[in-house]
Amino acid sequence: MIITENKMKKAFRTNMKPSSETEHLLLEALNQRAEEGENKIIHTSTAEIGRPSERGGRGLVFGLLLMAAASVVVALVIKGIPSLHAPSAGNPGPKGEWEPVAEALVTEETDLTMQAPYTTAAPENEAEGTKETAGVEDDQERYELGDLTFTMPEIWKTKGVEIVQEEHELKAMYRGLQLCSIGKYPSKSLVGGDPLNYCAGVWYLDNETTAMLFVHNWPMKIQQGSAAVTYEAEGIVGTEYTEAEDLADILYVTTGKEYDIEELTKQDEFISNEYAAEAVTDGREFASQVIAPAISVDEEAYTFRTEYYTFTLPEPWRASPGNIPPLCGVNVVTEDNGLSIMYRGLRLCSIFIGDEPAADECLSTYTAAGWRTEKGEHVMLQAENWAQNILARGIVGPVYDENQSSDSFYYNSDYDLQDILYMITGRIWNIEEISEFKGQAENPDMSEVVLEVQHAFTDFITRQVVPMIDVQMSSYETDEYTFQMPELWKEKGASFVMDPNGLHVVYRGLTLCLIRVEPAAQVCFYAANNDFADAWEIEAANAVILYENITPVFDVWSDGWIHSDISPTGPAAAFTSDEDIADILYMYTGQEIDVEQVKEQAEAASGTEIQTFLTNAASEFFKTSVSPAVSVKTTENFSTKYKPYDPNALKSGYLRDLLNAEPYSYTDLPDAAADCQIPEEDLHALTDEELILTLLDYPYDDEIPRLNTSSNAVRYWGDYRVQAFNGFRELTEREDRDGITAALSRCIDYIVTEYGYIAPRNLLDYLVRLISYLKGSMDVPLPLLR
Amino acid sequence: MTQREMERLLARFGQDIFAFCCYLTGRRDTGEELYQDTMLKTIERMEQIELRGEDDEGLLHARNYCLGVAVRLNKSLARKEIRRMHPSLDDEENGFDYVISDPLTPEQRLIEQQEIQSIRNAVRSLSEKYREVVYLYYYAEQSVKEIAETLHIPQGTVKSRMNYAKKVLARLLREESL
Repeated sequence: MIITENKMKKAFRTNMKPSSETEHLLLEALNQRAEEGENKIIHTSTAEIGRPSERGGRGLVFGLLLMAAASVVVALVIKGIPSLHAPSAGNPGPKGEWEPVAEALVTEETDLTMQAPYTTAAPENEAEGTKETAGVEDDQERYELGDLTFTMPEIWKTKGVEIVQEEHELKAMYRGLQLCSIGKYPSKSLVGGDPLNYCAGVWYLDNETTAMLFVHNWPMKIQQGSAAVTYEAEGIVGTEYTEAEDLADILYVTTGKEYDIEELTKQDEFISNEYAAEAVTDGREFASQVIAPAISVDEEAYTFRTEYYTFTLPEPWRASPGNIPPLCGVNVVTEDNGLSIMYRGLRLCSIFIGDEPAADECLSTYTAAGWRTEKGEHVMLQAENWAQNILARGIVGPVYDENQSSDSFYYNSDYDLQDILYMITGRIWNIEEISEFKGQAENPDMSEVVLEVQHAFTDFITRQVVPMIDVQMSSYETDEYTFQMPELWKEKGASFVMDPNGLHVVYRGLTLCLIRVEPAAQVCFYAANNDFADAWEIEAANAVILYENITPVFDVWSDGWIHSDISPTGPAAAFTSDEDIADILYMYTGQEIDVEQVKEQAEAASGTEIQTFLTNAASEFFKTSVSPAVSVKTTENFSTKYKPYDPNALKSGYLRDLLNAEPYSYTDLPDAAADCQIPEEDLHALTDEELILTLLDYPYDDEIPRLNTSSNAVRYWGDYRVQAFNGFRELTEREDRDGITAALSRCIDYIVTEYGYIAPRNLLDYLVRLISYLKGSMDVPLPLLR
Repeated sequence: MTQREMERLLARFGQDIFAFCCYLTGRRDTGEELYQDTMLKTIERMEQIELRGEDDEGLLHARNYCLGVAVRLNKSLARKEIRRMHPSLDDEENGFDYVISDPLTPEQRLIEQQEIQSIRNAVRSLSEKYREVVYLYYYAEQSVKEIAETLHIPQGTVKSRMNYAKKVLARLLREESL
């Protein structure tokens, strides 16, 4: 069976309608909604209306619950109460008009049953008044460390905290004390530190490097150090702060809260009572919600590329400013056969090249997904089921630590469990709830909760982690050709995107090249165009055509920057920095280009040399590296016959002349559309070929008929006579489209041979398009259905 | 969305959404339940739904929104009803109908009906995440971008799922024709 797009669409055509009871129910609900208003709908029992479904009571109860749930969530969203998905400084939140409601749908159950801890400390909470957001204003001070940017929090700015910039580190200093450091570390570094200098966030700069935020725990030092603070500067012991006013001042910049000086004066009491413990907690919150959100990195840093796949961190696994948990971001470790995603020494999952998943899986490891690459390797995703640890034993561990070979340890506090549960479920669980279900896997009374936790884990992995893994295929095969990704492109992470236009090779949102199967005659028209690279003739008068999209190269020498492009993956950003431009030009030319020089020449309007150099380099690269990557499955290389890059070597003089011909125009056009009509009886009697030849005699002007792809119909622009001409209508309505297509192909040959120099190029173009149209609407094999 | 717009949505696209729900659940009766839940939820939230575009365009966006709701509710219902009845391979049993091209000879009609049944069964055999994409693409005729918005997944994921689904469908249908 040949399956076409049309057949696929046709297969789902249906006349099914909802029952009249359902329609009645919905109209009633709509009326009640309108009458009773937003708040009352919760009490509008669908039971009163009656639901005709077969599931009866369950449906009614579910409907009510659903409505109640929805209303509460909508209220949460409308009122802006911080929720799991509330936008924060580092997480701009969902976009688009539907998003708030749609997000609420996804999280409705979570939001109703779970309360996020630390909500009082959320940046949006104005009532607290002691926290500062890291909102970026124009007058804010920013400091850069590679791709990382630190924006001075307002609270520090007003107090005069200074940032000391070193080669690999930023240090925040206040009155001689170091408040925190933001430094670059190898990505294999284990998140560590000690209670007096703890890690409060990890950000990825690239595969090799991470940035970490280490916060000096001055509240704890005050608590432990007899309420005194000593600092060292350049090896010399500096001032010791013992006065209550000084301590309050230091506590303010480390916790964001104003402390009672009277209370601090009674130093011993401060140390012994809960006040000090609170200060330590406040300090941690301040670090997570004020300092960490002030750090931002390029989104690209969350993407990890390997030979076989690309993995982008799901939102909950990124350092999550403004929310606790997570305590910090995950750590991505590059291993021999893939990536491991680590969190606080725990392996969350591994994405590796391995065997096909085994049928039996142990409880502690969850094989969530597998992909088979074109070469036959299996990319596997295995997640560690720490939820099982929590449910069965109430602890998590042992914790992996390559630097501490002997003493592995466990997490057992409820806060740690909450933190880890968030990372494996993407949800924040109540501390009280955790204390109830931890270690209760065997308790029959807790079976529902146990199942819920397990489901949350698998749900998170399959719905939020799996989609972030993009398995790269090094080659793409269709019925007509195979394209082997050139090494240079593969190394840089170019990917395939097949859409109705053909196979795109995409890099950073830009289409590098496009491969399409089209009527071979198309080659005649594109041979002299800049975007045409090569072609191979295949069966049925078709050709595999390789187009190079070197528009960005033109952009660079004409404007000095690369315009945004619409690619199959969506609109791409404009590239203006020298690094970006060099990176992209490298993909088009295979050469390291001196962008500064290109820009200078472009600006000086003397870019002829560089223009020639770039276009030649791009053409050469396509000829030597891209074109050989295409291997067609049938017949000969079209380009050997037509040599598209050398118009003089075209097969016939006719074609060469055709390409150089001026657009054909009739000077003696008939005035009325009626003059062009063919009597209907004659029209129907014409064979396909005769009909087409009749059409060839039609007086055309420069405005060629065009295809309107959106309505999938032929429309004739600019020439009302063509629009009214019944010959074209007849052609498109004939049933034997295969026959017509073949006849059109023969006609093209005929035009080229017989008309030669005077052949109207616009007509020829139209006929080629017509073939595409007829094939597209008939029996074109699905581009992807292979 | 106003009450009037909601009524227009029901009149214009109610049947579309209903059939989509039926395909999603695999059965007409469960599809009807899902349709009820979907539309009740949409009615409940209609004030928060802002139509993007004028007239039909706006309604089309609202329809897409409803399809997204249906997908999520279906997942939620499927989780709750572990023992949910699986659809049969016979469309008649599932309460589905056919729309056969006209005019066709009786023989052509039979062939077309068999083809439709084969395609539908092949799609049913796909796992949920692929099935959703196929229905949205072929039945709802959504673009990749729209599907990505409906399912809350990246466009690349839509394409890879579609690619995989098509490969599996091609294999299944090829095997069947052999």
